[in-house]
Amino acid sequence: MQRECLKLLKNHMQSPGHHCLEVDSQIQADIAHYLKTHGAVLLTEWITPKDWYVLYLQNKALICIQSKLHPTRPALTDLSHDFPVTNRLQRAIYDLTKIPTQHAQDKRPWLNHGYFPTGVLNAHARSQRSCQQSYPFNKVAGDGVHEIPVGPVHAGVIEPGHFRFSVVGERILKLEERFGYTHKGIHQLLLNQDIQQGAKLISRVSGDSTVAYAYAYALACEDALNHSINPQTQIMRTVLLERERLINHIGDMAAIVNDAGMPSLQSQFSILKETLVRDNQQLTGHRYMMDAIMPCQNIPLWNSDTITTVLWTLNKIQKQLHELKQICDHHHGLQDRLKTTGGLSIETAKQLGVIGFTARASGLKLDMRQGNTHYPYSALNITALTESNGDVAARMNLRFKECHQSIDVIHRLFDMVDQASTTNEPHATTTDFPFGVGIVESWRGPVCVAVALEHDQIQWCHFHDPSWQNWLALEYAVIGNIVADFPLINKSFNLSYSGQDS
Amino acid sequence: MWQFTKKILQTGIKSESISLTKEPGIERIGQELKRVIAKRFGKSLAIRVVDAGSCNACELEINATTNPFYNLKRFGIHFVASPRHADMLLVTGPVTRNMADALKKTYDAMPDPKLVVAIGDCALCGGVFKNSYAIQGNVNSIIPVDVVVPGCPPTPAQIIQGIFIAINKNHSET
Repeated sequence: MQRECLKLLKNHMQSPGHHCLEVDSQIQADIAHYLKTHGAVLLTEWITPKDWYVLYLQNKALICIQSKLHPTRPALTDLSHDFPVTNRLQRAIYDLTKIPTQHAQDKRPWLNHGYFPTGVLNAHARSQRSCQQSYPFNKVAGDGVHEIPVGPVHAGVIEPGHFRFSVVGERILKLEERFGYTHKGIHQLLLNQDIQQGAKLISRVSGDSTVAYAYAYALACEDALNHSINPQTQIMRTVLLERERLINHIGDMAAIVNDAGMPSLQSQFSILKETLVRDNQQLTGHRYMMDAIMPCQNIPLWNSDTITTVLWTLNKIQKQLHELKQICDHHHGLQDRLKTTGGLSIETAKQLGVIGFTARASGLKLDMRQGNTHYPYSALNITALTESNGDVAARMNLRFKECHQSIDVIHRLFDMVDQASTTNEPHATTTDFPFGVGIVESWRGPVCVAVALEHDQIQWCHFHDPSWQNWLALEYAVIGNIVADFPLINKSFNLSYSGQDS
Repeated sequence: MWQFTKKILQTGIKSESISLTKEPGIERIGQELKRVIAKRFGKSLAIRVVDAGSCNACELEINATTNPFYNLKRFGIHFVASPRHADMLLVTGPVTRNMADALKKTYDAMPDPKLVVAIGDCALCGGVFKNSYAIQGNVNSIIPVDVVVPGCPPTPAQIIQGIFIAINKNHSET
C-alpha cells in the first residue's frame, strides 16, 4: 500500500465521523486486510455505474473506500479472505451487473437461479443467457456422511431459502445455505423513482425491519439533499424504531420458547407482542408502522394523554417481561434446550465480521446507537449490552435485556421531547461522502442505505441488511449440533431472507 | 413450575370473539367457520403456507392469527408442514421468478380440493414490486386462486375472513 494512502487511512481511523478515501481498486484488498487487523467491520459494499464502494465501521469512524471502475473492463478485487461476507456480495454483484471479481475462488451464482439474464442492471454487459439452473453444493465425504436438503419451501410459516446439511447420524458436520429465492430486483425498481415512491419500496425490503429501513433511507435522502429535520421528528422516529425493536425481540422470544417445546409460554409472549402491535395501529395507522417515516417529512408529536397511555402500557409490559424472565430462568427443561445450543464464539464472530445483536450475544460491543452517532442517540449515551456465551440462551437473554433497554430509551426520549424544538435546525455536515448515507441500528443490526439523488429523483440507491453478515454466522453456529435443534438455532438468529435477497 | 401455572391462571383466556376487530359480522364468521369446517373438513382444516417472495410482513400477520387473541386453532384450523396434508394453500408475495417453480410444485403436491387463498397486495398484483425483471407475475398467473385478501399486509382478521370465504365458496359450488 502506498505510504500517503496508509497515512490518510490512519488519520481517518483516529477521528470519528464519516471519511471517504479514493484508491486504486488493486489495493482494496490490502486496505481490507489492514482494517480487519485493526478491528474494523465491513458494513456493506456496492457498485454504481462508475464506482465501487466499500463501507467499514472502525471504532467510531465510518470509512468509505472508493475505487473507480475501469471504463471498459471493470473488475473488483477479492476481499473475502478478510471479510467472508464479500464472497456472497461479490457473487450477487456479478449476477446483477456482470462485473467479475479478480482471483475469486467461488464463482457460483448467488441471486440468479437461471430465470433472468445475468447482468440485468448493466445495460452494456447484459447477456441474453442466464446462468445454469443446477447449483453445485460443497460436498462432504466420508463414512456415514449423508445430505439433508431442506427448502426452499419450509415446514413452518417462514420465508423461502435452501439449507443443505451434511450430517453423520444426528450431528451436523456442515450447513451450506443457498438464497436468492425472494429476489425482487428492488435495486432496479428504485432507479429514477422519486423520493417518496422510493420510501415505499425500501420500507418493504424486509417487513419486520420496515421502520429501520424507512429511517435509514430518510436519513440518507436528507443527507444527500442537505435537508434538516427538526429534533422533535428525530425523537419520534427513534421512538418508532425502539418500538420495532421491542416488538421483534418479544416475537422472537415467543418463537424460541415454542421451538423449545413450550407453546403455553409462547402464548404469554405473543400476548405482549399483539398488545404492542395493536397500539401501533392506533398510534401510526399501521400494525407494523409501515410508511410512518417519510424523508423530509415531520412526524407530529403525540398528545400528552397518548404518551401517558403508551408509557403506562410499556411499564406493564416491562413488569410482565420480568415475570416471564423468572419463569424462563427457573424452567430447567427450557434452559437445558437453550444453553450450549448453537454456540458462536467471540473469535468466530470476529473472524466472520458478524454485526448487530448476534455479535453482541457473542460478546462484541458493536452497536450503532452508542458513541458518536446521529441525534437523538448522541444525546442518550447508550452503551451496547452484551452476553458472553454466544449460544441460544445468550441470544434469548440479550433480547430480554434489550427489551428493557428499549423501554428505558422510550421513557428518556419522551422526557427529551418537551425541550426539543420543532424548528428545522441547519444540517450539520459531518460527511465527506459523495452520496447521502443513513445507518440505523435495527433490532437485527445496522441497516445501511446509500443514495445519490438528482433533481429529487433516485440516481442510484443501495441498501444492505445485517442478515448478509449474520447468515454466515448461522452456518458456523450449527456445527456439531443435532439436526433437530436447527429450527431453535435458526429462530434465535431470526435472520431475514427477503432482506438479503432483495 | 408453580410460578408458570400461576401466570397462566392469572392471564386467563385472551381469545376474543373476533368482534374487537370492529368489522361487523366477523363473530358470526367465527361460529360459521367452525360449523363449515366441522361439516366439510372432518372438523379440521389443514393449511400450508408458501411464501413466494414476500417481504415477510404477511408472514408476521399469518403467524398472528394463531396468537391467543385470534386463536385460529379454536375453529379447527391448523398449519401443516407438508402440502400433502393440506386442504388449503395460503400464498404470500409477488411470486418471484426464483420461487415460481417451487410454488407450482407445492400446489401440484396437494390433494383436492386444493383451495388457494392469495394473501396481500403483492400476491394480488405484485404490489410495489410489479414490473420488476425478477417477478414472474401474480399468484393467479401461476396457480388458480379462489380468494384474494388484499392489504399490505392484511390484518389477521382479514386473513381469517379470507379463509372463511374460500371454504364457503367451495361449499356453495359443490
